[in-house]
Amino acid sequence: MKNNDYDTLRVKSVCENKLGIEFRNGSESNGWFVHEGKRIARVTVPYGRKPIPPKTYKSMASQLKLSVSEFDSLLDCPLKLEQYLDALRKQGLIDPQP
Amino acid sequence: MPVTMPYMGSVPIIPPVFEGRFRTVIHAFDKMEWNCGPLALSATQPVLFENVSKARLTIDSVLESMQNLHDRFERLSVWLRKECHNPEKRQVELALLTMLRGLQQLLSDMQVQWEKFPEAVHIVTRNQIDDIERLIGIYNLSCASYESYLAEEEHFSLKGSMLNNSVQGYKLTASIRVHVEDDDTGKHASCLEIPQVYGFGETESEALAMLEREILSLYEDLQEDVPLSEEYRLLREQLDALFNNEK
Repeated sequence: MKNNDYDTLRVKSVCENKLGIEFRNGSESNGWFVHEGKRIARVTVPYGRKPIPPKTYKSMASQLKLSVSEFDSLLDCPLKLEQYLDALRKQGLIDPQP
Repeated sequence: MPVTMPYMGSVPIIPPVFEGRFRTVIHAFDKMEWNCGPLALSATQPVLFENVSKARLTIDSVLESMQNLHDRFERLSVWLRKECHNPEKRQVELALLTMLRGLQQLLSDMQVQWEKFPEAVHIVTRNQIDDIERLIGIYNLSCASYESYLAEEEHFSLKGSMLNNSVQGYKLTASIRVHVEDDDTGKHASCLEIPQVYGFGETESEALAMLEREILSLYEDLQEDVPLSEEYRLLREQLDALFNNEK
């Protein structure tokens, strides 16, 4: 788990840039991952914490329907949008590719 | 020389089951395809049989498995009856019961035919036996998923979870179970019934306050007129019921 390597700003920025999530700023920062017009996953990123506490890190991974290691990869860079979609397809959360 | 006989039995329809955290269970049920799959037998469909001794052995093992399944299910049912206010559990119970009854019906129909015809032992095709075994595998998978849910709930109830009857001043129609635990320098709060949200804070009260804000904010998000995944569509129904928002 690489929760010590990243802060919440990094998580937010990766979610925005890689997954196209648009955050709404309220008491917390919430955003939906939308695929083909449908809301699939909702992630909450607390404001400015570094390092991210482990259970909170795990919760964010889980909200994105990722394992902790997949979430590490998402933040590290190797996991791109297409691989993220593959992970969702494997869980039956989005339709298979035509 | 294979014997051909009509199958006289009927297979009940599996009802839709609550999804969300039961995705694995639902996926397994979906795979069964009672209505259009190979087990959708009808009186007009002849049944072929090829290997008598193998079928006898398999049917015996199926019957034995059925008994084991029945015992396991009895235990689940006892547990479920204790907390029957939770609609999720009721629906899973209903689905598991229906599945069990389906298998029992199938076997009972076979037995009737064994007694009715001297050659009735030839009643089942190898494919049907495979289907029954497959169903039992699916049933076991469903039980495993369900047991992990039970284990998680046990974890919640044993390790200091608390019941909440309200969220941000809204009175709920049923209690939700909230769990707070240490998370590095702060506290992490989660909810068994709504695992899609969490709370974090320096103190327990801050973590709980964030969790409540998150539940309410998710509920409000789900009221928006935007297409949702099946998981969130069902969660919306669950939250509507919790917040008593009958539509």
